[in-house]
This record gives sequence, C-alpha cells and structure tokens, in this order.
Amino acid sequence: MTIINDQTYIDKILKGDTNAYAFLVEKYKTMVFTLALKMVKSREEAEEISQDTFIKAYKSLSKFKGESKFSTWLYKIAYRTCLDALKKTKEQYSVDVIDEITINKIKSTESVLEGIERKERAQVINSCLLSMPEEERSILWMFYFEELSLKEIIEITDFSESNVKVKLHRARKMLLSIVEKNVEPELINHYGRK
Amino acid sequence: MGENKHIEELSAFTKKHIKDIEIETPSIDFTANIMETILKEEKTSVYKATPLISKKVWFVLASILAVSVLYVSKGASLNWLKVPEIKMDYLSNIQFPNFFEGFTISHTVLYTSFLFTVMIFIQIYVLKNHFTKHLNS
Repeated sequence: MTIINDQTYIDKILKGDTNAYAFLVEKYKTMVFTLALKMVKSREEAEEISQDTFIKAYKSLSKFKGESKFSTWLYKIAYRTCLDALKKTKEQYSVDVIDEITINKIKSTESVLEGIERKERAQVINSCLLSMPEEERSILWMFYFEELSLKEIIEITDFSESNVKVKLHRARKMLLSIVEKNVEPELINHYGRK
Repeated sequence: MGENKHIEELSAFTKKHIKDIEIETPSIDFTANIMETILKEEKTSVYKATPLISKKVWFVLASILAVSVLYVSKGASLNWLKVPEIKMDYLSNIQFPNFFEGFTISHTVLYTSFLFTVMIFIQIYVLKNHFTKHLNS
C-alpha cells in the first residue's frame, strides 16, 4: 500500500489540480468539524465554520511552508475561525473550580461514573465539557482527544508554554468539578451505601 | 510527590472520559459543498475583469495632477516652472495644399456613417454583457 502524504496533495493542488484538495478535506473534515462543534456547540454553525476553514486554507495554501504538520496548520485556522465566531456571541461562564483535588475525590467520582452506562456516561462528560469556557474546553479536547502535543497546542493557540500548562491543569480541575457537581446525587448515594 | 500523584490521577481520569466521547461527523455533502465553492470561485477569478488603469495608478495620477495644479496656481512665479518661450511664427508661414478642396459628402453617406458608428458601439456593449454573463454562469 502506498501512503500518499499531505505534501503530495498540496504540491498537486499548487500545480493546478484543484480536485486533489477533496482528499485533504475528506481526511481532516471530522477533526476540524469536531473541534468547531466543541467550541461553538451548534451543529449548523460548526459546519459553516468548518467549511470556512477549508476554503481559507485552500486560498492560503501557497503560504504553507511545511514547517509544521498540515493538520496543525489547518487546526490553527479552524481555531482562529471559531474564536472569531465566538466573539459575536460572547458567553459568560461561571464555574467553581475545586482548589483541592484529592485522590479520593477522583476515585469516588470515577466509581459513580462507572455505574452509568457507557453511552450515557459519554453524554454526561460531553455536556460537562461544553459547560466549560471555550479556551479550556478546546485545550482539553486537543490534548486528550486529538492527542496533540503541547508544542502543537502552543502553535495553534499562540499561548505561551506556561500559559498552556496552567490552562490545561485548570481545565482538568474544572472538568472534575463540573462532573462531580453533575453526579452529586449519585455521589451522595454512593457514600450513603458505604 | 503527592501533588504529582494527584495530577497523574486527574490526567488519567480526564483522558479516559474524554476519549469516550463520540465524535460527530459533518453532513454527507460537506466535501462536495466545499469543492463546489472552490471551483466556482476559481472560475470567476479567471474571468474577473481587471481595469486597465488600476485604482492605485489613478490615485498616483490624481496626486501628480493635484500637486502640479497647486504649484502652478500658488507658485506661478517660480522660475524653474517657467517654460522657455519658443518662437512659433514660422508655423504660420508654412502652407499646406488643401487636398479636400471641392470634396463634398452627401447627406445620405453622412447619416449612414453616423448610424453605422452608433450601431457598432451598441454591439460592443451588448456583446460584452452577453459574454460576461455567459462566462460567469
């Protein structure tokens, strides 16, 4: 099997083969769409942002010098487009973050989550993630779901390394706090049974 | 040490649950829509009419004209702007033979030529519009 890398398609497009771009869209559409969906929440808006991202990327393809991965470069365009869209509807978030994280707290939340059916559990986590401020939830998504490196996240977000680390740590704590709050009734039962 | 253990536990917890979230895919015609937009834009950009004199050039020309007018009106006494006088008297002494002496054009020819010119201009306008519409659609 021959693996055709992204650069091969990019070279083809730059030589005038516009249709070669469809391969890159197919390859990265889910990644871009999921990030957009995690950031703007609405399916319609996420689809519009993803389309804008791919059109913008196509128009500035000649500026892509291959210094980073094509996916990182594309992700950066998607992230910026999402931020621009979010500027119009600035949401306010008020999340109380637990200052002290204990292993017990993590374990008890975990065991409550274990008791929920997998699909439902994923929905609970997803809605908890969506109630976080967009910067934190997008960093969590990039780091844990897409498994991007810190270096790539720094490149995409333009934050400093220490800033990304701080936000990542804060985001993890924030997610645990929200999940804990969401499953609180079950948590009380859980302790009650003990 | 203890703090690190917490971070590790929390990190493992976050990873496990975020990885469980189901990904959602865009609509089926997503790629087709993008390609359609791109190909449409490419087509229009190829036939995009560009003016012979760009806005930038117009701006430069206008600036030069404005500066010249200002200089001439305000500083007409400036010596360096004075054009040296050229004696043109000899021009009136030259006599050209009049080739069209006794040449008359009938009214019919005059009207025909006039109408012919007008029709050509109308055709240019109509054809230009026709091709612009045809090529852009």
